[in-house]
Amino acid sequence: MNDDRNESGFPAGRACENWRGPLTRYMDDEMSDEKRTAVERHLELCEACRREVELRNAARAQWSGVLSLDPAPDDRSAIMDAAREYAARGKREASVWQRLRSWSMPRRRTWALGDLVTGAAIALSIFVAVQFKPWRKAAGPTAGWASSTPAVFYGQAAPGEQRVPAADPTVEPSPLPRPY
Amino acid sequence: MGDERTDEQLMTRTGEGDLDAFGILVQRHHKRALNLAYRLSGDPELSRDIAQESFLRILKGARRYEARARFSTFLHTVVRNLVIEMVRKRRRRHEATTSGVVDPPNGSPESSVRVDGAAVPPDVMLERKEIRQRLQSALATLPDDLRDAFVLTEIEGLSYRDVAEICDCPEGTIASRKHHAVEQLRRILTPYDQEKEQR
Repeated sequence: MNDDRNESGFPAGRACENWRGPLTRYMDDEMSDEKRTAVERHLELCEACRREVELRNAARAQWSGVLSLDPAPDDRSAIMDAAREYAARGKREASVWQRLRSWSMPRRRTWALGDLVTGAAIALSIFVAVQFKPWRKAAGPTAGWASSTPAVFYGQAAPGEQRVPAADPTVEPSPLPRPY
Repeated sequence: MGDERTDEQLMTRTGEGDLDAFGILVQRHHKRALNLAYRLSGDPELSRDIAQESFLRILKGARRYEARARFSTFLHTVVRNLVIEMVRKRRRRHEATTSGVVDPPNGSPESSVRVDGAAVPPDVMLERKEIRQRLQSALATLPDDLRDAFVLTEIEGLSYRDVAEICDCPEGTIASRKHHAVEQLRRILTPYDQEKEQR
């Protein structure tokens, strides 16, 4: 290589340190007119920066040429095949959805999906109400369904009931009568 | 005679279910999508998959497309996001090559590059191949955000504004990333050249 360029075409970096950032923006055309004029003024005076711009522009052209692929002959047709398949699937799904809708909203007044769902919801509400009586006031530490559970379930005596006192664990039980 | 409708009009038609309009978009932009994927991922085979998947995603999202941004910006965004997604997936599977760079297979369209309609002589091909490998190796060492900024502005020629939209960050960040990428590439590529000069 006979100049200050890398083999990849990229400049070796002999431009003024402070001007490298502005030079990049200048080459990318991302500068206000005022700053652009300042860079151009500097370029008139600075050989190294002028060379940097020249080489970077050449490198840019080289890079896009070297780093490029041509599509394979069947690439586009593969995309279009996949697109057609997707569109056909979309139509099938749409037709299923339309059938469902037409089934749930019949033209004549008959039992339909919406009616069945409403009926089921009402039946469920009645069942919950009858079974668990949620409007009843809680009768103890627990509320809701537990309040309707007989107290005997909790080891308490029901009203009017006489419970046998529990056996004293320290007293040895009398021997069981022999079966014969 | 080519279709004179704009990309945005074709996208609107695609959203209405016009597959012919979609076909024109594929015709116009497939090579651009393929090359962007190649430049960002460094892998020709993966790039073909990404290009195909990008167009399918565009088709699936066509109904929701609003022509606020240019179609090309939209396409770049989809391709870049897919590159990130698929390269990450690949990294997770430990399938990535050590350098992150894969040469196009022999006989692929890329390996028979033509310039101005004439076949490229073998020695020039070899030189191009070396340059390509070196550039790709250098690009592969850059962090993802620097590489995206560099490829999109320097090679794809997009404005900082468009790249900021694609990468979802401020324009100043793109300018800064671009500058750092240039300096990092300079550091990577210069020692190799000096070494070669000494030999």
